Amino acid sequence: MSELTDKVLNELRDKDVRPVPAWRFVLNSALTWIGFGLFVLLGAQSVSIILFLLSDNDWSELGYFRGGPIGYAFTVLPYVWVAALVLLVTIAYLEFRKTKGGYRYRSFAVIGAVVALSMVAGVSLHSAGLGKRADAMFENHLPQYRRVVPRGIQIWDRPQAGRLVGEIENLGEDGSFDLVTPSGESWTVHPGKDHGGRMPPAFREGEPVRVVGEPSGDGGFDAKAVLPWGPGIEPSQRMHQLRHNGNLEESTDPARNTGEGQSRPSVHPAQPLGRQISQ
Amino acid sequence: MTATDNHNDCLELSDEQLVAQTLENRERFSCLIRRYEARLFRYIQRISSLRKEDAEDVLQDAFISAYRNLRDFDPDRGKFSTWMYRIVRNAAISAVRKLKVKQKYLVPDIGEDLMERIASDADIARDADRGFDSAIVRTTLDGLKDDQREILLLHYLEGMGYIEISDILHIAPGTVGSRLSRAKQAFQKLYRPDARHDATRL
Repeated sequence: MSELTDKVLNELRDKDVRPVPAWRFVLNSALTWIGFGLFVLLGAQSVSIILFLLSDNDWSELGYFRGGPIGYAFTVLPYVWVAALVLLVTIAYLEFRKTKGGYRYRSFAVIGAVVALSMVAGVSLHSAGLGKRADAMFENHLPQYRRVVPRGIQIWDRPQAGRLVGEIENLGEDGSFDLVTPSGESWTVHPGKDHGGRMPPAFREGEPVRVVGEPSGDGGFDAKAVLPWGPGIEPSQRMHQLRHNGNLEESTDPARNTGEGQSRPSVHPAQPLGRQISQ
Repeated sequence: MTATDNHNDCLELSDEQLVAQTLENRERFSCLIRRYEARLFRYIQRISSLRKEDAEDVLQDAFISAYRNLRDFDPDRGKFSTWMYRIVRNAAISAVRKLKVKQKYLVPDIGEDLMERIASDADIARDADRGFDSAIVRTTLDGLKDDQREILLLHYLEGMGYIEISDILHIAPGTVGSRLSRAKQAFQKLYRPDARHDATRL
């Protein structure tokens, strides 16, 4: 018997070393697979929220956005959820690598498979309405959520980017009107030459609209188009509450909604760019 | 049963049979130790610059760790030998870190035929007279990156195939192929047949 054999066997005897029970390896393996599945599922949930937020936009109007369809896509893309998806896919990939035999697959194949799985499951979750529910849940429980994941009103309430949203006030005979935004600003909108046919059907005072154009200085805004409210931007009561109560952090529990049966986005004040409305 | 009888009995059994027997009777582990100790000791020396005594300690710890994790060995997922190489490699890397020894791959005296295989496979020995020198080959290997040198050692010195190397290094077999190809290219690029023959021997 070799010297090494003696040493090893003596140590095994002296310390009464025994093989680790098989169930511990099975458990360890199962936990790794569960971790992998969990992160794929969370990635799928991220996909469902991304799909909901992307679908919750008026894609028919993307021609009015600077940069065209691509510019519009970059404007409405929920970057936080995209970053979360990248992170979750990475963790799922690392979990897979820890499984027995996981190293035998090429990295790009594993990452591709994880992304594909997340996409397929994400589409299913989105179809089941879980993307919308998760988005509403985050909105209701995380006060800062809408600041980092803008939706509807937040995307349109950006005058310097050429987008305005609000309600019509003081409709003039020449077609110009004052627009009061959710931030409490008032802009004087001058519909341009090419706005014809783009007016909302019910163009009257109190009507909520979106405006595409350019700020013209001193609170003026030259409109390229005046559009009706679109998906993700519910006309609102909520806006009236904001304007009259000034309570910008109020909860937006969907259960409290009236009329449309949709959740209302929370609205946060932007830097005043137009004339401030007098309360 | 004498030690000799025991040893002869070992020779007739496969690794998998010996693993199964070891789980029933700890003493049977001696068969597996004897079967692999020389190869694994050389492997430790090749992948680290540990002293002989430290390398022996690493091998001893690796065998104890292997015994402890014996039920994790799955014959359906690979050979016992590659499973042991993986354990030994991890133990050697840990020891190198623990002892703060600068890891350096050593290419000890190896047969000329193996040197020839490396050189000819890398299309170095193109001259009819096979005018390459094992000292230069050794120096060339020393000039490679660690991962390139390790994969050449596993393939040419340990005689491992792609799947076995994949199981030892925990990388995809396809990656083994591309890494081996890059290592051979690097070897070819570094190889200087006209280099001085008094190149440092490792």
